[in-house]
Amino acid sequence: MKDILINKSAEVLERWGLFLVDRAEDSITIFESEMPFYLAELKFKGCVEGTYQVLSQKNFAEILVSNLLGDQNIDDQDQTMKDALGELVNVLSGNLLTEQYGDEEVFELTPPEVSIINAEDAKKFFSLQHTCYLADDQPLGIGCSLDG
Amino acid sequence: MAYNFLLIDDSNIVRKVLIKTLGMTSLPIDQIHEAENGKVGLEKLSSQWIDMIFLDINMPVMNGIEFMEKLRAQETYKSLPVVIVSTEGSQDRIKRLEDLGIKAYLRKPVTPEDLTTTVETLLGGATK
Repeated sequence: MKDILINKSAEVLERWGLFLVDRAEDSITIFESEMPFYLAELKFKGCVEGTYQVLSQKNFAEILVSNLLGDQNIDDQDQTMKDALGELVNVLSGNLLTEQYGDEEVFELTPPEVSIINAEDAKKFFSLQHTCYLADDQPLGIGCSLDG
Repeated sequence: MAYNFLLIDDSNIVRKVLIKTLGMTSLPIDQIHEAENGKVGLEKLSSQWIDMIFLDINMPVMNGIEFMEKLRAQETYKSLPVVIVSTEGSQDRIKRLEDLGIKAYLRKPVTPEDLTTTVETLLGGATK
């Protein structure tokens, strides 16, 4: 499972997010502890149930928006960053679930939720099965947990 | 002669990305209309000429399957090309949509080459 998480996530970040991606130490120390964290989360339910999470910070979200939208006018930068992070966890989830369980399986996905959390709450992310990257030099964590 | 597209997706950023990706193709484009769910999509159809629809599956208010059922129930839109753009990967649901007459399925992330091939295959030179 972790191999798929590592390899497929990197592929999505490169192809969809247009990032240059390097593996990073799987630790909260790669993040800026003084900056708020963005946690994008999506739950899935099918032959297994669980959650995908993406942990990032503002610099990553800004680059993601820029990579996705180019020079299009943006009315609400904060909301657009949240929308982009929500769509990232959505695209990651669809690709990871299909890679892991095949395209015969049906999964219900909840709408992505994006929240801003502090460093203390961000530590909980590292209890998941997770992998970390530097995407365009910005720290990023992608994690998955299965219920039960 | 240029194409008119309707993008139906509840995510504003997905619609913007799709517009950007369409803009990266060499396809002749007249107008791109947007709708945040199937219900709004049907309303747009009644007031705009549309050559092709790009449709998401999971949406609030009216999802992609409900939209297709209502679309194909109307004689006017029985042959209007609809392409699914989604992270949805289950063959079961894709089969249901194929039964409802979708013409193609594109899994995100979608490239300009994916869009060009799909549009040219389905529309050729057919525009208003």
